[in-house]
Amino acid sequence: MSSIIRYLRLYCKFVQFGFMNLITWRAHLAIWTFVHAFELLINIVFFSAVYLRTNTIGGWNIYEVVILLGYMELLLGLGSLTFFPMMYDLDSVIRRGDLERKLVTPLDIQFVMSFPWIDTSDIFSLITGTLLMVYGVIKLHPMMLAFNILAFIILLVSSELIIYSIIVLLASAVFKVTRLKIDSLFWSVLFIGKIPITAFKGATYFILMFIVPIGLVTAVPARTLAGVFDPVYFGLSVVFAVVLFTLSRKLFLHNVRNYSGVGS
Amino acid sequence: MSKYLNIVRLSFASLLEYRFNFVVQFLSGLVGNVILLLFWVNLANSGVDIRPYTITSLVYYYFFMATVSSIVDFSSDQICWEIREGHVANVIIKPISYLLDNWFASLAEKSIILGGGIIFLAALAFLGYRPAGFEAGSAVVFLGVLLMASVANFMIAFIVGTLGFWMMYTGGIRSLVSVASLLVSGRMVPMELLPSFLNNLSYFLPFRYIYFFPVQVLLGQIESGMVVRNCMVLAVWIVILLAVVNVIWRVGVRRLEVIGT
Repeated sequence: MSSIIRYLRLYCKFVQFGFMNLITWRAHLAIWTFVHAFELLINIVFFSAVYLRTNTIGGWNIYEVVILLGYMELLLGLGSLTFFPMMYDLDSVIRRGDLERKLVTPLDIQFVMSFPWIDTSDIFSLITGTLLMVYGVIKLHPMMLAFNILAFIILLVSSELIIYSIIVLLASAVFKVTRLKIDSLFWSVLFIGKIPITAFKGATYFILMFIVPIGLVTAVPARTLAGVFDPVYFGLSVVFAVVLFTLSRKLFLHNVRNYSGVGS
Repeated sequence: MSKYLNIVRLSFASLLEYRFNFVVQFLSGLVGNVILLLFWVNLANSGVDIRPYTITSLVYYYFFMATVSSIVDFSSDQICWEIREGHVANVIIKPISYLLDNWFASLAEKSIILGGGIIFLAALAFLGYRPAGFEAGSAVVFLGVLLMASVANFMIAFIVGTLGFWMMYTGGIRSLVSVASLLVSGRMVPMELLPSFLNNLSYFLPFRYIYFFPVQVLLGQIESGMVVRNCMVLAVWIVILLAVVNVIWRVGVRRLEVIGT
């Protein structure tokens, strides 16, 4: 318990440094806030264009899609405040031999590698995302809202854990291959999550739900908040999170054990 | 010219050395197009009207769009980084153009993607699959249009990158340009499927001519008169962007300070 508190306090320090950076680079924050707001607008225009031609996308109405887009913003904001920076830094840390310096710190190496810095430039995504979700929920008036919100929070945590584990698994390749940038692949896959998963059929649906579990990470929590709670997918999401996290941690530690220094 | 050919040779060597990363980056670009294609195909199968497209022409559309995007897209991050770290000084003092240096350095990657696309298209044509309006002459026109589109988009990336003379990080501006161009370039949705105000707006921006126009040429969806007109518009955009590049570069280099070893 004391070690958890220790790591939480350390993480709070990282966040504090992140906010100090934020104040230093105010223009940077303004630009990224505008970029995310604009991207959100583009996505809304895109789906509005689709809904001009149909009333439903794979059984989702426009307000459910609004909740999905809001949820994606929230996911992005939380990811940036926690482990997203890991995927930008890992390649150069290993290539330049900086890993050795991190290995000698009296901390869990996965923790050190997972939070190299805190990206506070996406902080406003938390607000815009939440506002969109609230708007969608108000329009939909789902039954058992309190229960849905509780299930949604559990699913949000398991989704972040699944995404984190996927990043760690992808990052494992960086130990083997020099100059490998995984962030563009990650963003491409995350882009899929903005589309209601049931718009895909057959093998594509299966792959996106269970192999690259982007549907489990995005559609299931958004649908839950919209009032469509599915206990099977809820359970699957939690199990996936636990299994993937265990697997990714084992692989990460295995790679660190087999790492041979290359630095100066 | 030989010095620029050496740059191409070096970038080929670098590409082969880090080939796994090249494959990952290429696949990253492909994923979005495949997903958007599957999305529209499933919508069409559930009865949504996607005219003037058919499912087959949409398949070609997204395949060509993926290829065109991979060829005309340039990253401005390297330029910004070189300015920020002062490495740009190494190039300035050499008898080469920084603009051309960056352009030729990207040729290796682009030519491999183009070569792969041509081989894939030829194989499809050999098996009897080709877009309804496609003619052999379209392929030649396409190469010319693609070159112009690539130059125009390179200029945009160069302008964004050279903002590094004034800003520490240009990643936000790069993303802003990318996001702004998403709908009005046809990368997300074919222009005909967009609401008319967005379609009309796209004529006043360069992105339609950079992404959508080359795809239209390959699909054989555009008359020869319109090809000439669009090429002229693209040429005007290149001249405007080149003028902006020159101004930003001159002003930027004048305020450049490089300290250190």
